[in-house]
Amino acid sequence: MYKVNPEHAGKVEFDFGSDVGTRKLTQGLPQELLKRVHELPGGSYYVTYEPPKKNEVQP
Amino acid sequence: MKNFIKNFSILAFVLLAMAAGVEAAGSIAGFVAGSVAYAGLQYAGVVELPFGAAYVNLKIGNVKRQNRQLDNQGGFTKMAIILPESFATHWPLSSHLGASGVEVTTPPTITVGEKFGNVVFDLDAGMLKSSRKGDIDSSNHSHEGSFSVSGVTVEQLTELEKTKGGCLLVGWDSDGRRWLAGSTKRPLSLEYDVDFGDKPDSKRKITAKFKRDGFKFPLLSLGEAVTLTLETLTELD
Repeated sequence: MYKVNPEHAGKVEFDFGSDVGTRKLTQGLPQELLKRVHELPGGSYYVTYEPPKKNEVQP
Repeated sequence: MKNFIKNFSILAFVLLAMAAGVEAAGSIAGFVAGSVAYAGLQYAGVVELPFGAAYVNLKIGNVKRQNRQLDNQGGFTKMAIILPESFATHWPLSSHLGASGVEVTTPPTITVGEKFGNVVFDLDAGMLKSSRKGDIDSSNHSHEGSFSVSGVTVEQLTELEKTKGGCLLVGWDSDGRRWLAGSTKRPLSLEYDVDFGDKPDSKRKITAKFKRDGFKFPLLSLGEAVTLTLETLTELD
Protein backbone atom coordinates (compact mmCIF):
# COMPACT_ATOMS: atom_id res chain seq x y z
CA MET A 1 0.00 0.00 0.00
CA TYR A 2 1.26 3.47 -0.89
CA LYS A 3 1.26 5.89 2.04
CA VAL A 4 1.66 9.65 1.94
CA ASN A 5 4.42 11.01 4.17
CA PRO A 6 2.34 12.98 6.72
CA GLU A 7 4.92 15.75 6.67
CA HIS A 8 3.97 16.58 3.06
CA ALA A 9 0.26 15.81 3.07
CA GLY A 10 -1.61 18.83 1.70
CA LYS A 11 1.62 20.77 1.22
CA VAL A 12 2.53 19.77 -2.31
CA GLU A 13 0.63 19.25 -5.56
CA PHE A 14 1.24 16.90 -8.46
CA ASP A 15 0.13 17.36 -12.04
CA PHE A 16 -0.73 14.04 -13.65
CA GLY A 17 -1.45 15.25 -17.18
CA SER A 18 -4.59 16.38 -18.98
CA ASP A 19 -6.67 13.30 -18.07
CA VAL A 20 -6.31 13.70 -14.29
CA GLY A 21 -5.08 17.26 -13.80
CA THR A 22 -3.41 18.79 -10.75
CA ARG A 23 -4.15 17.14 -7.40
CA LYS A 24 -3.06 18.05 -3.88
CA LEU A 25 -1.16 15.21 -2.21
CA THR A 26 -3.41 13.49 0.32
CA GLN A 27 -3.91 9.91 1.42
CA GLY A 28 -7.35 10.14 -0.20
CA LEU A 29 -5.87 10.03 -3.71
CA PRO A 30 -6.30 6.72 -5.55
CA GLN A 31 -3.47 4.26 -4.97
CA GLU A 32 -2.73 4.36 -8.70
CA LEU A 33 -1.83 8.07 -8.48
CA LEU A 34 0.15 7.60 -5.27
CA LYS A 35 2.07 4.87 -7.10
CA ARG A 36 2.90 7.34 -9.87
CA VAL A 37 4.27 9.79 -7.29
CA HIS A 38 6.25 7.03 -5.58
CA GLU A 39 7.81 6.00 -8.90
CA LEU A 40 9.03 9.52 -9.69
CA PRO A 41 12.75 10.14 -9.24
CA GLY A 42 12.90 10.93 -5.51
CA GLY A 43 9.19 10.14 -5.18
CA SER A 44 9.67 8.12 -1.98
CA TYR A 45 10.28 11.46 -0.26
CA TYR A 46 6.54 12.09 -0.60
CA VAL A 47 4.98 8.63 -0.84
CA THR A 48 6.32 5.40 0.66
CA TYR A 49 5.39 1.85 -0.17
CA GLU A 50 4.55 -0.71 2.46
CA PRO A 51 4.21 -4.28 1.21
CA PRO A 52 0.89 -5.88 2.22
CA LYS A 53 1.03 -7.85 5.45
CA LYS A 54 -0.04 -11.46 5.48
CA ASN A 55 -3.85 -11.88 5.35
CA GLU A 56 -4.31 -8.10 4.99
CA VAL A 57 -7.14 -7.06 2.66
CA GLN A 58 -6.11 -4.33 0.20
CA PRO A 59 -8.43 -1.31 -0.04
CA MET B 1 45.75 12.81 -55.83
CA LYS B 2 44.00 10.38 -53.47
CA ASN B 3 40.65 12.08 -54.10
CA PHE B 4 41.25 12.01 -57.85
CA ILE B 5 41.90 8.25 -57.78
CA LYS B 6 38.79 7.69 -55.63
CA ASN B 7 36.56 9.76 -57.92
CA PHE B 8 38.06 8.17 -61.01
CA SER B 9 37.44 4.71 -59.57
CA ILE B 10 33.80 5.59 -58.75
CA LEU B 11 33.27 6.92 -62.28
CA ALA B 12 34.90 3.86 -63.80
CA PHE B 13 32.80 1.53 -61.64
CA VAL B 14 29.55 3.25 -62.65
CA LEU B 15 30.54 3.36 -66.35
CA LEU B 16 31.45 -0.32 -66.26
CA ALA B 17 28.08 -1.16 -64.71
CA MET B 18 26.33 0.92 -67.40
CA ALA B 19 28.31 -0.79 -70.14
CA ALA B 20 27.48 -4.21 -68.73
CA GLY B 21 23.80 -3.22 -68.58
CA VAL B 22 23.83 -2.00 -72.22
CA GLU B 23 25.59 -5.17 -73.31
CA ALA B 24 23.11 -7.38 -71.46
CA ALA B 25 19.74 -5.71 -72.15
CA GLY B 26 20.04 -2.44 -74.05
CA SER B 27 20.41 1.26 -73.30
CA ILE B 28 17.66 1.58 -70.65
CA ALA B 29 19.15 -1.31 -68.72
CA GLY B 30 22.46 0.55 -68.88
CA PHE B 31 20.99 3.54 -67.03
CA VAL B 32 19.35 1.23 -64.49
CA ALA B 33 22.61 -0.63 -63.89
CA GLY B 34 24.48 2.66 -63.45
CA SER B 35 21.92 3.93 -60.93
CA VAL B 36 22.00 0.67 -58.98
CA ALA B 37 25.80 0.70 -58.92
CA TYR B 38 25.87 4.30 -57.62
CA ALA B 39 23.21 3.55 -54.99
CA GLY B 40 25.29 0.56 -53.91
CA LEU B 41 28.33 2.78 -53.45
CA GLN B 42 26.20 5.21 -51.40
CA TYR B 43 24.90 2.41 -49.20
CA ALA B 44 28.42 1.03 -48.75
CA GLY B 45 29.55 4.48 -47.63
CA VAL B 46 32.03 4.94 -50.50
CA VAL B 47 30.01 7.86 -51.88
CA GLU B 48 29.13 10.16 -49.02
CA LEU B 49 25.78 11.83 -48.55
CA PRO B 50 24.66 14.06 -45.65
CA PHE B 51 23.08 11.79 -43.01
CA GLY B 52 23.85 8.76 -45.23
CA ALA B 53 21.47 5.89 -44.67
CA ALA B 54 19.24 8.02 -42.40
CA TYR B 55 17.39 9.06 -45.55
CA VAL B 56 16.25 5.48 -46.00
CA ASN B 57 13.72 5.76 -43.17
CA LEU B 58 12.93 9.49 -43.32
CA LYS B 59 9.40 9.82 -44.63
CA ILE B 60 6.88 12.57 -44.04
CA GLY B 61 3.28 11.82 -43.13
CA ASN B 62 0.15 13.96 -43.40
CA VAL B 63 0.09 17.38 -41.74
CA LYS B 64 -3.59 17.81 -41.03
CA ARG B 65 -5.66 20.69 -39.70
CA GLN B 66 -7.86 20.32 -36.64
CA ASN B 67 -11.30 18.88 -37.46
CA ARG B 68 -13.72 21.82 -37.86
CA GLN B 69 -16.19 20.18 -35.48
CA LEU B 70 -13.67 20.23 -32.63
CA ASP B 71 -12.77 23.12 -30.37
CA ASN B 72 -9.57 24.89 -31.29
CA GLN B 73 -9.20 27.40 -28.51
CA GLY B 74 -5.89 29.08 -27.90
CA GLY B 75 -4.31 30.55 -24.82
CA PHE B 76 -2.97 29.18 -21.59
CA THR B 77 -4.72 28.62 -18.28
CA LYS B 78 -1.69 28.51 -16.00
CA MET B 79 2.06 28.22 -15.97
CA ALA B 80 4.69 26.79 -13.68
CA ILE B 81 8.25 28.03 -13.33
CA ILE B 82 11.42 26.36 -12.09
CA LEU B 83 15.12 27.21 -11.95
CA PRO B 84 17.72 25.03 -13.69
CA GLU B 85 19.49 24.79 -10.32
CA SER B 86 16.56 22.75 -8.98
CA PHE B 87 17.32 19.80 -11.26
CA ALA B 88 19.57 16.94 -10.23
CA THR B 89 20.26 16.02 -13.88
CA HIS B 90 19.80 17.80 -17.19
CA TRP B 91 16.26 17.72 -18.61
CA PRO B 92 15.04 17.25 -21.24
CA LEU B 93 17.74 15.42 -23.19
CA SER B 94 17.21 13.68 -26.53
CA SER B 95 16.98 10.39 -24.64
CA HIS B 96 13.98 11.76 -22.69
CA LEU B 97 11.93 12.23 -25.86
CA GLY B 98 9.59 9.63 -27.32
CA ALA B 99 9.81 8.31 -30.87
CA SER B 100 8.08 11.46 -32.15
CA GLY B 101 10.99 13.62 -31.02
CA VAL B 102 8.64 16.37 -29.81
CA GLU B 103 7.12 14.75 -26.70
CA VAL B 104 8.89 14.31 -23.37
CA THR B 105 8.19 10.86 -21.94
CA THR B 106 10.60 10.88 -18.98
CA PRO B 107 9.81 12.97 -15.89
CA PRO B 108 12.50 15.34 -14.64
CA THR B 109 14.85 14.36 -11.84
CA ILE B 110 14.40 17.24 -9.47
CA THR B 111 16.47 17.71 -6.33
CA VAL B 112 14.56 16.24 -3.39
CA GLY B 113 12.19 18.83 -1.95
CA GLU B 114 12.37 21.21 -4.94
CA LYS B 115 9.15 21.99 -6.82
CA PHE B 116 7.77 23.96 -9.73
CA GLY B 117 6.29 27.29 -8.60
CA ASN B 118 2.86 28.28 -9.94
CA VAL B 119 2.58 31.42 -12.04
CA VAL B 120 -0.98 32.62 -11.44
CA PHE B 121 -1.23 35.17 -14.19
CA ASP B 122 -4.10 37.54 -14.98
CA LEU B 123 -6.99 36.34 -17.13
CA ASP B 124 -5.88 35.69 -20.72
CA ALA B 125 -2.44 37.11 -19.94
CA GLY B 126 -0.15 34.11 -20.45
CA MET B 127 1.41 33.22 -23.79
CA LEU B 128 3.95 30.70 -25.09
CA LYS B 129 5.21 30.12 -28.61
CA SER B 130 8.11 28.74 -30.57
CA SER B 131 9.42 29.46 -34.05
CA ARG B 132 11.72 27.49 -36.33
CA LYS B 133 14.08 29.58 -38.38
CA GLY B 134 17.44 29.54 -40.10
CA ASP B 135 19.00 27.92 -43.13
CA ILE B 136 18.38 24.33 -44.08
CA ASP B 137 21.70 23.26 -42.59
CA SER B 138 21.45 25.26 -39.38
CA SER B 139 17.77 25.62 -38.51
CA ASN B 140 16.88 26.01 -34.85
CA HIS B 141 13.91 26.93 -32.69
CA SER B 142 13.31 29.89 -30.44
CA HIS B 143 11.08 29.61 -27.37
CA GLU B 144 9.37 32.69 -26.08
CA GLY B 145 6.38 33.89 -24.13
CA SER B 146 5.02 36.34 -21.62
CA PHE B 147 2.72 36.70 -18.66
CA SER B 148 1.46 39.49 -16.46
CA VAL B 149 0.46 39.38 -12.81
CA SER B 150 -1.58 42.14 -11.25
CA GLY B 151 -0.44 43.95 -8.15
CA VAL B 152 3.15 44.71 -7.30
CA THR B 153 4.16 42.94 -4.11
CA VAL B 154 7.45 42.17 -2.42
CA GLU B 155 6.63 38.45 -2.69
CA GLN B 156 6.25 38.64 -6.48
CA LEU B 157 9.50 40.56 -6.89
CA THR B 158 11.36 38.21 -4.53
CA GLU B 159 10.45 35.19 -6.64
CA LEU B 160 11.13 36.88 -9.99
CA GLU B 161 14.53 38.12 -8.82
CA LYS B 162 15.58 34.49 -8.38
CA THR B 163 15.47 33.96 -12.17
CA LYS B 164 18.65 35.91 -12.95
CA GLY B 165 20.33 32.66 -14.00
CA GLY B 166 17.45 31.70 -16.28
CA CYS B 167 14.38 29.53 -15.84
CA LEU B 168 12.18 26.87 -17.44
CA LEU B 169 8.44 27.31 -17.89
CA VAL B 170 5.59 24.87 -18.42
CA GLY B 171 2.27 26.15 -19.78
CA TRP B 172 -1.12 24.43 -19.55
CA ASP B 173 -3.13 25.04 -22.73
CA SER B 174 -6.93 25.16 -22.99
CA ASP B 175 -7.07 21.36 -23.35
CA GLY B 176 -4.96 20.79 -20.23
CA ARG B 177 -1.95 19.69 -22.26
CA ARG B 178 1.41 20.81 -20.93
CA TRP B 179 4.11 22.45 -23.03
CA LEU B 180 7.69 23.00 -21.95
CA ALA B 181 9.71 26.09 -22.86
CA GLY B 182 13.44 26.13 -22.21
CA SER B 183 15.70 23.38 -20.95
CA THR B 184 18.23 23.05 -18.15
CA LYS B 185 21.03 23.34 -20.72
CA ARG B 186 19.47 26.43 -22.30
CA PRO B 187 17.34 28.15 -19.67
CA LEU B 188 15.11 31.03 -20.76
CA SER B 189 16.19 34.57 -20.02
CA LEU B 190 13.39 36.39 -18.23
CA GLU B 191 12.90 40.15 -18.29
CA TYR B 192 10.13 41.97 -16.49
CA ASP B 193 8.60 45.42 -16.16
CA VAL B 194 7.21 46.69 -12.90
CA ASP B 195 4.44 49.13 -13.69
CA PHE B 196 2.69 51.20 -11.02
CA GLY B 197 0.81 53.36 -13.52
CA ASP B 198 0.40 57.11 -13.21
CA LYS B 199 -3.04 57.59 -11.62
CA PRO B 200 -5.46 55.74 -9.35
CA ASP B 201 -7.32 54.05 -12.20
CA SER B 202 -4.10 52.64 -13.65
CA LYS B 203 -3.51 48.97 -13.01
CA ARG B 204 -0.46 47.96 -11.02
CA LYS B 205 1.15 44.93 -12.59
CA ILE B 206 4.32 43.09 -13.42
CA THR B 207 4.76 42.06 -17.05
CA ALA B 208 7.34 39.36 -17.71
CA LYS B 209 8.80 38.30 -21.05
CA PHE B 210 11.05 35.31 -21.57
CA LYS B 211 12.97 34.08 -24.61
CA ARG B 212 15.86 31.94 -25.78
CA ASP B 213 17.08 30.87 -29.24
CA GLY B 214 18.99 27.85 -30.42
CA PHE B 215 16.84 24.90 -29.40
CA LYS B 216 16.87 21.67 -31.38
CA PHE B 217 13.14 21.24 -30.81
CA PRO B 218 9.94 23.33 -30.69
CA LEU B 219 7.93 23.68 -27.48
CA LEU B 220 7.90 20.14 -26.14
CA SER B 221 4.68 18.41 -25.18
CA LEU B 222 4.89 16.68 -21.80
CA GLY B 223 3.46 13.17 -22.17
CA GLU B 224 0.67 11.90 -19.96
CA ALA B 225 3.17 9.76 -18.05
CA VAL B 226 5.15 12.81 -16.93
CA THR B 227 4.15 13.87 -13.41
CA LEU B 228 5.19 17.32 -12.18
CA THR B 229 5.72 18.35 -8.57
CA LEU B 230 4.13 21.73 -7.85
CA GLU B 231 4.00 24.18 -4.98
CA THR B 232 0.60 24.23 -3.31
CA LEU B 233 -1.66 27.18 -4.01
CA THR B 234 -3.11 28.27 -0.72
CA GLU B 235 -5.22 31.28 -1.68
CA LEU B 236 -5.57 31.67 -5.44
CA ASP B 237 -6.90 29.08 -7.85
